Amino acid sequence: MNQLDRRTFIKLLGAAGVVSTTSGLVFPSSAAAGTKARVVVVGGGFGGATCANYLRQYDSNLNVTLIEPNIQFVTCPFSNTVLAGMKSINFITHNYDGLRKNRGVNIMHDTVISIDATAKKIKLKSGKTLTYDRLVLSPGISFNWHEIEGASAENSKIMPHAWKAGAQTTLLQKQLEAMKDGGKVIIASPRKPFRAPPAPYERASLIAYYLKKTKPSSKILLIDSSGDSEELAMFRTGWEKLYKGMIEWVDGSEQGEIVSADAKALSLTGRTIGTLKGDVVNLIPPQHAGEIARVAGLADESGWCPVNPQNFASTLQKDIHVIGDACIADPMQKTGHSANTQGKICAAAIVIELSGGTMPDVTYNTSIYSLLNPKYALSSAGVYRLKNGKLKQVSGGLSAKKASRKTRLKEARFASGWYKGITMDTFGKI
Amino acid sequence: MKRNIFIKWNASIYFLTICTAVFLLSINAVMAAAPNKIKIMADACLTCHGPNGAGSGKIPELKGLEKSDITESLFGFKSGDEKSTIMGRYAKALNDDEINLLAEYFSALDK
Ligand SMILES: Cc1cc2nc3c(=O)[nH]c(=O)nc-3n(C[C@H](O)[C@H](O)[C@H](O)COP(=O)(O)OP(=O)(O)OC[C@H]3O[C@@H](n4cnc5c(N)ncnc54)[C@H](O)[C@@H]3O)c2cc1C
Repeated sequence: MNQLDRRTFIKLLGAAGVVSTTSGLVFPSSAAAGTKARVVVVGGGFGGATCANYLRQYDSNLNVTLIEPNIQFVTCPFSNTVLAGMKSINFITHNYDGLRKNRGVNIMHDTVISIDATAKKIKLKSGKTLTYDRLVLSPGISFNWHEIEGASAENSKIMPHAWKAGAQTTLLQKQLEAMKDGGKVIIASPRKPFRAPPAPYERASLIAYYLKKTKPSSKILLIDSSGDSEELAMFRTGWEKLYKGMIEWVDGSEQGEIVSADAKALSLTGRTIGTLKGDVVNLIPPQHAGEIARVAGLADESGWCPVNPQNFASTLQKDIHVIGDACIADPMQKTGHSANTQGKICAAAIVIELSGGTMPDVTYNTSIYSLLNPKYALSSAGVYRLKNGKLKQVSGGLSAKKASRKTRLKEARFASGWYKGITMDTFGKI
Repeated sequence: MKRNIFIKWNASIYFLTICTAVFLLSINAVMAAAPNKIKIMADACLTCHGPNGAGSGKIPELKGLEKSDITESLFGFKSGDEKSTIMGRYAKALNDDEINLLAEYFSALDK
């Protein structure tokens, strides 16, 4: 018997004094594995949906409720392909049937408006209240409008951010479609840290892909708050090959940062870069943890939520975990892949803790693929481990600097596979 | 509850259980000592390789492959002998035990 059948293995372990659910984790038999603990998860995006999903997989006795206002979730990953007319908005839209039917997660379409960490109670917009044993928050990001004079949620209907996918994605796509040939598109990325660091580069690439096909005299101006980097250099090499002369890069870091926006004039102003006017303006504002995390006192002065990366427990409030973009999990980047990883690890840690066990040493994976066109992609990947209570990168990096078009094509194919895989994995599709 | 059942068992079953445990430990000490670790690490692979490791688009399946095929690939990715786009960057983070156990895990999943 050199190949160990998992089920046999788990059964034998059971006989040896430990118990487990069919596909779940293994607990000490003396512990209260299979308690009816109630875990409430807030936010049905990459972090929250994954966490709810894996809580039920790791312990099918848990009572898991996921609270998410939207009936459907539109992913930011691959939303740039919608801007480029490569995919429809339906392609990036997912529902919660998989979590409900395949995983037995209770789904409530509602919004959490307050959290009482002492009474372990949350209040919902509908007026309902819920109690929990453990609370997991994955509320994503909110925008710091006030940092840019003239920027606001209202004005984002004129200068869309499209940094939360859905109506904003469609709006920006329609603006690009309506723009005349020879027009100028401005993309302004926000001060760090922000959701999906290479995504402004992917956006510039795929908008260029669209414009080259349909309005080839048009130009893109990318005001880049991240400044120069090795990763940018790889994109610029690609842009030289694919979109020569179409994408102008402006250093928007530090003194170059955008300080004001004029929605009427469709212009942005930065200290050192002056006032720049576009025909379509994609202003991506500075970000902080989703509002509910701040309201509940889970964020520090940075606007993000400090956590213990072993279980993603908040260091500010008891029995509350924060995962995904909202948490501080440096040096892991804020990506959907990171949120998915954190959702799984947080789920495992909760199940193991509730049964009195200890969380093993595991790897934390992340990646982000960026398409430069449908057949050319770059990726950034990282693997982390806990060392002295902190996440340390143990491997990873960018795609090979010099590679054939065949390799870039392979990565583009993997990007599509990744998208299918992560959305099935996150939303409990089988 | 489980403890009570355990105590009620007769000596022979108890003996058998211990034999099984010892047998298991000798097959794979690390797996028996850390099944949760391998389950959690294997689940990390599903983000890209899809539910149950069944593969996702051009990303290959893992489940039901021969253990030796998986270890060969992972050790190859780790050393760089086997060319890859992204797997080299992941495999470098794994130690030899982890590679062997992950391979064992996926090879044992339903084909
Ligand atoms: C253009 C773009 C491209 C990207 N491409 C990639 C990519 O290729 N790969 C990748 O890995 N990542 C990518 N990302 C990043 C990825 O989208 C985020 O990192 C990811 O969505 C974070 O997951 P999350 O769970 O933290 O937040 P989200 O996925 O945003 O989920 C948060 C959810 O919480 C809900 N919510 C918020 N407040 C409340 C409340 N009070 N009550 C109830 N529910 C609430 C929201 O409705 C939302 O559904 C991209 C991002 C952008 C903008």
